[in-house]
This record gives sequence, structure tokens and C-alpha cells, in this order.
Amino acid sequence: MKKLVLFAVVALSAASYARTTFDSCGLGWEVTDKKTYLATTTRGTTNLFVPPTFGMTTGTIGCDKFDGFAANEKQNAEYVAKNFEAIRSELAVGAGEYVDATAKSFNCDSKSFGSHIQKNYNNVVAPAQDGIQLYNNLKTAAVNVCS
Amino acid sequence: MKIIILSWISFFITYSSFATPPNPTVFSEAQLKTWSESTEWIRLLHFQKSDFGKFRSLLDGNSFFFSKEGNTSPLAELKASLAAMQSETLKVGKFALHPQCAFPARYWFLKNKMGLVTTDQKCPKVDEFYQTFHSPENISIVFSSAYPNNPASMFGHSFIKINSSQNVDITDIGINYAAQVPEDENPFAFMYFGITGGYPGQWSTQDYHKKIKEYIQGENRDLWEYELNLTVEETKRFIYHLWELETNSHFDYYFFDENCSYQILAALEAIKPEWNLTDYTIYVIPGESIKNLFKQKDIVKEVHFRPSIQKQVLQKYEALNAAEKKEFHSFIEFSDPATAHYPLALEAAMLYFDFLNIQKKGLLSATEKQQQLRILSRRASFGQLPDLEKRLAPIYAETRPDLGHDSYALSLSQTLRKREDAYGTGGTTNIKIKSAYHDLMNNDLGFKRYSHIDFPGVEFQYDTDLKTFRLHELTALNITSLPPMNLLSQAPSWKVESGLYTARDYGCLSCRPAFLELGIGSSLNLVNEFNLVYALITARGEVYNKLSRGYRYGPGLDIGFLFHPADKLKFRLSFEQFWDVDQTQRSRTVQSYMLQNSYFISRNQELRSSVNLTYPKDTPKFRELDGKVEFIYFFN
Repeated sequence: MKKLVLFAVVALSAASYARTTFDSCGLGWEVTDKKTYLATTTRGTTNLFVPPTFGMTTGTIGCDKFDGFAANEKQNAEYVAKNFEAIRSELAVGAGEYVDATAKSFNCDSKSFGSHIQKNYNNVVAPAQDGIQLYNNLKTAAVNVCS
Repeated sequence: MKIIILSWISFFITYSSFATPPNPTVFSEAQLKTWSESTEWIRLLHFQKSDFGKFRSLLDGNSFFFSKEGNTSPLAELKASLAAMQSETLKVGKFALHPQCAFPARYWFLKNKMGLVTTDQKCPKVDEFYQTFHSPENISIVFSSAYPNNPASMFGHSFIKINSSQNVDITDIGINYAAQVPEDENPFAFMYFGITGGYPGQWSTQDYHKKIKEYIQGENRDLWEYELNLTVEETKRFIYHLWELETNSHFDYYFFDENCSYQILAALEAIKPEWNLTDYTIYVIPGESIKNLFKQKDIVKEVHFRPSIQKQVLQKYEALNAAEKKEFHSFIEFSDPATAHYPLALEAAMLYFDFLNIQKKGLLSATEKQQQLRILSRRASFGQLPDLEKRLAPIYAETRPDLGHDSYALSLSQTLRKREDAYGTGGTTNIKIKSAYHDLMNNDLGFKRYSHIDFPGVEFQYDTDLKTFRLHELTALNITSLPPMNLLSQAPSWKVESGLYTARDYGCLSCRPAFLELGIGSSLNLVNEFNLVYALITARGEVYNKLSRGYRYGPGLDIGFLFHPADKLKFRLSFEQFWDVDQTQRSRTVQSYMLQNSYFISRNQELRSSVNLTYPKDTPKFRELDGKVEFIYFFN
């Protein structure tokens, strides 16, 4: 009986079922095209994906965008790149947990970092077209505040 | 006294381990038997005891056991494990490691609890893995609220976050447990294998900021973080235990019982024998399993809430005054924000464009992108304004799962009926039981508001005047979703109802047609989020041999008003109409009017009353007026 009922529920979801792979490079549509978005949406809900298993380096597998960075920098660069929009918005406000985490990755005091970047928003943040550019701009700017 | 003796014993153990060089420890048969029956050992190997007293491990991969009968005999496995830990050459598991490194939590138990003395091996692979979590402090269980409009995730999902003492919260690492499904699996195979345990489960790590992005932004769900009272040492052993599960074996994934929630709690129990988290009955609903964390004191240290992106935008928007709202709307219609006056309006617009970007799958137009940037840049020019935060009203924490009522419900009710036909005036006493989950009149705390999901339920009725006992209603599956339309969402409202019911309008109180009703429409908040009007167009079909054709079907309407004036009080006024397509003599147009009221006595107790008028327009003698008082008790 139990299985019958549960079967009914799963049956309902079958229509929206789709399969996707997870390359740890971000949400599907960020790295490919919009066609994968449906797949991305259902993945998290039906718990279907195959991310890096234990014992492999986490973070940047299959994501060659970050190959130019030194190993110890990859994780920070990836964090900024993945959260481009959220970081950009919080930097406009000048504070928040994304700002905290960004400042920390440059060994900066969050308050002075936030305030400095906000004042120089049009030179540091606004020109960045994507997350990697933003990361590089912030890195350069951070040298001035946090040395 | 006990403590003194214990410390003496531990002194001797410590002393003797210094005194004697590492050589094979000898345990008596009685000692081995006692240890093999200890809660810790049973749980570390995930043994379940059957009704006949037989043990069987839930682990489905073979290589988790050193003994051949290890998955059914805790004692044999204990002996074999002791031997394996002292071996000099044995290599096991995915990475071909020494048993001490492949099973670090098991080794810890054998060494520190049982007192096994042997040479410690170096385990660089395990150390490296542990270090990826950056000095873990404790762990949180993270619950993601239901995903609207996808039945497969109506019950939410849960995963683990390892709280580092070095990181900012969002840069912590999460651990997920999920089914491994082959690429391009077809939906029917997926359904079948998902229920019958056809897929192996897999533990995997992922940056928490990616999880936040996936759930809060990509899927617009809330996240609840339950930080647990664990020490640094316990956290380490928890990570070790997951390591030994994942690198040596696997569990088959069963969507409804041995799922993410169950395995996370079972792994926690294995390193915290004093916690009992996995007592469950038939199925494990993620939100329900969170409640187990509150069955004992001091398991949960703190609860943190991360609202969905939509809730964040609406929170900012609702905080705006009239002038600010005007400015906000001008921003989203692309007027230049260069001379904008209100930073909060700019912040709301920033979030709005973030939301829009997600809706458009990252493909904002050039104009939209430019406007977004102009708004950001203008907001930056105002500098830091920490006081703005104070204007935001707290987000109503409706989806916090541990606050919700339990899932099974038992209800007792008394009805009074008034009819013109032979049944006349009378009373009935009813008893109803349902297995899950939540209806529109229940307390929404802990659930997604304006949603109704009911699994099989059955109601029996004793008619005190006609002296008959009968089945009154049977619910197969009822789902109603009434998401209010707002600035950000135009999602439709819909419902599916099916089961058996009493056809009061047909002049036959012993007629129990089977029915299916589908509906689609819209809902809207009135004044604030606590009041809702909805209107659905429905299609209904019924089958029953005493209906004049054996069936009837037709279109209908379902219109109503839900009113939630106080935390403990809820009202609903509704009107339904059904047009029989065949317009037979006994069945043409049926209307029903209902007023319901519920009062929440406590988390698991509810008092409900209703007045219901069934009004078949052309057969006045079949009209029925009912009054009902009901007591509902939830349990697990």
C-alpha cells in the first residue's frame, strides 16, 4: 500500500523529470546554454547528480576557466566568479556576508575593504564583465587597502 | 564514586599502554561479545535487528566487512576488524588504504573505547580530506523547504554543512547524500528504481555557497540550518565515518525511507550513541525527521534561516513607502537612477534585477544589464547605510519544519444535518484517520502556506438517527497549491482531488461515487500575506452505479477566501458549483457554500467548526444544511 501511494506521487513528478550532469562549474545554464536549465531545476529536487566524490579535490574539477590560477588561489577565484551577482550587489551596499567572505579571501578587514571598494565602485566593480574580471580587479584593489 | 572508579580504571589502562610495547591485544570472548552488542558498534556498522533477533547491516556494498558473515554477525565482524587493524600488509577500499585509514571511525572505536593497542598508521589521504573542511567546529543539518509545483520535492531535502572555525559561513563545505542515477535514465525506470532501491546512494562534498545559489536563487527555496551540539572531536569522527561509508561501500537509496534524511541521522547516531534520531514508522519525510532533533534536549544549538530570493525581494519592496515605491517602479521601467533619492528603493531594484536574471536563466538583455549596473553604481554612491536594515520587517518563518504539526492525523467530529427528504434531521459521529500531511485549514507554521497535500485518509461515520455505520469519505490524493500572484510571480493555482465521497445532493446518503476533480486558476493576497482570495475553474467526473447513467461529469467553479486574523485562528469562506453536462432529472446544477473556522490549541491539536449548505438548484428536497465540530490530533 505504502509503495502504491508513493508511486503515485513520483508518477506525478515524472513529467517534470529530467537528467543532468553536474560539473561543479556552476548552475547548468551558467556554463552551457539555457536548454539545460530545466534539467538543472529538477536535479536538486530529485537529488540526482554526480559531483566529485570524497578524496578528490573539491571545487574546480572540469572547469578549465580557473586553470590560470595558482592552486591556492583557485578556490577564492572560483568563489568570486560563482557569486558574481551577489558579490556585486553587496559591494554596492558596502557590507554583507558575501563581502565578508571576499575580504577574508584577500586577508582584508571586511569593513575597510567594503568601504574602499564601494567608494571606488565605478572603477573596480562596474567595469567587470564577469566573475574572473571582478576577481582580478578586487585583487588589485585589495593590495591598496589590506597591506 | 563511579567517576573515581572510572578514572582509576582509565589510569591503569593508560599506564599499562605506556608500560607494554604495542603488541596484539587479547580480549576475552565475553568482552568481545559485550562490545559487539554495544550501541556504538551496532550503529557504526549500521546493523538493524529484525523481529526474530537477527542482525543485518543496511550497507549494500560488500567491502564494508572484513568477515565473510560480517553483514549479519556483529561479533564476527568485530573479531575480523580487530585483526585487520593490526595487519601490516592489508590494503582495502577505493583508495587501497590500510584498514586504519580506510575505517578511521571504526579504528577510533576499537582503540579508544575497547582499548586495542597497536601501531598507529599514517593516513595522509584521510588527513588531506579532513583538512578540506578548514578546522571543523561542528556541523549543521540544512533543510531546504519544498520546491513549489514539483510533487517530487514537496517534502523538501536535507544535507550537511560542516561549520569551519576559519571560514565565513557561506564558504563552508557541504556534504550531500543523493541517489546516483545513470545518465539519460528514462522517467519510468527512475520511478521504479527510486522506490525499490535500484540506485546506490552517494556522499559528496560541495561548497556551501554553491548550494545557496542552487536552492535560494536557482530554485527559490528557503534554507534552514540546524547547528548541532557536537565537539570538534565528534565532528572529526563524523567526517571519518562518512569517509569510511563512501570510500568502502554504499547504501542503496530508497526515496521514501532510506533516503537523505535517514542516512544523515543514522550517521550522526553512529558517533553520538546517546542520541536517538532514527525511530521512524513508515516513511521518512525530511521535514519530519528534523523534528527528531528536538526529541532530546540540547541536540540543536541554534537555528539559522536563509530566505529564498523571492522572499528577499518582497521584504525590501514591502518596506518601501509610497514615494520609494514610485521610484522603484520607475527604475524597473528603465528611467535613469542617476538622480535617485532613495537608497532602499535602489536596493529593492538591485534585488529585483538579480531575481529577473535568474528567471531569464542568466540572459538579461543589454538594456536590462545596463540599467542594473546604473542602479548598482548609484547605490554605491550613497555609501554604507547600516540603518536601512532596521526598516525591514522580519520574514515570516512559515517553512521552519520543526515548528509544524506532525504528519498523521486522527480526528473526531460530530455533525448535525437538516434535510427535507426521507433522511430528515439527524446527527452523525465521525472518525477520520489520514497518513499525511497538511490541509488549507491547518496551522501553516512549518509548512508552505496556501498548500494542501493529503495522502490516503479514510472517514467512517455512525449515524445516530438511522443507526447505521458506514464509510463516509476516502481520500486517495488531494493536492492544492494556491501561490498568490505578486510583483515577482504569476504562477497559476491548481488542484487535484480524488477519492470516494457521499453524494449529498443526489438524495442518497449511502451513495459513495468515486471522483476525480482537477482545477486551475489564480490567487491573490488581500491587504497582506495572511489573507488570500482564489478562483479556480474545475472539471469533475464521478463514477457510481446508482447515478442515473452510472457516471456524471461537468465543469465547475471553486472560489474562496482564506482569512488568518491571528496566529491561532483561521477562517475560510468558499463557494463551489458543479454543472452536470447531461442535466439529468436528479442532477443539474449543484452549489455548495461553506464557512470553516479552525483554532490551533497546540502544535498537534486543532479544533475546527464548519457550516456547509449543499444546494442542488432544481431538486430542493435534496438540500442539506450541516453543522460540524471537529477535534484533530496529529501524531507521528
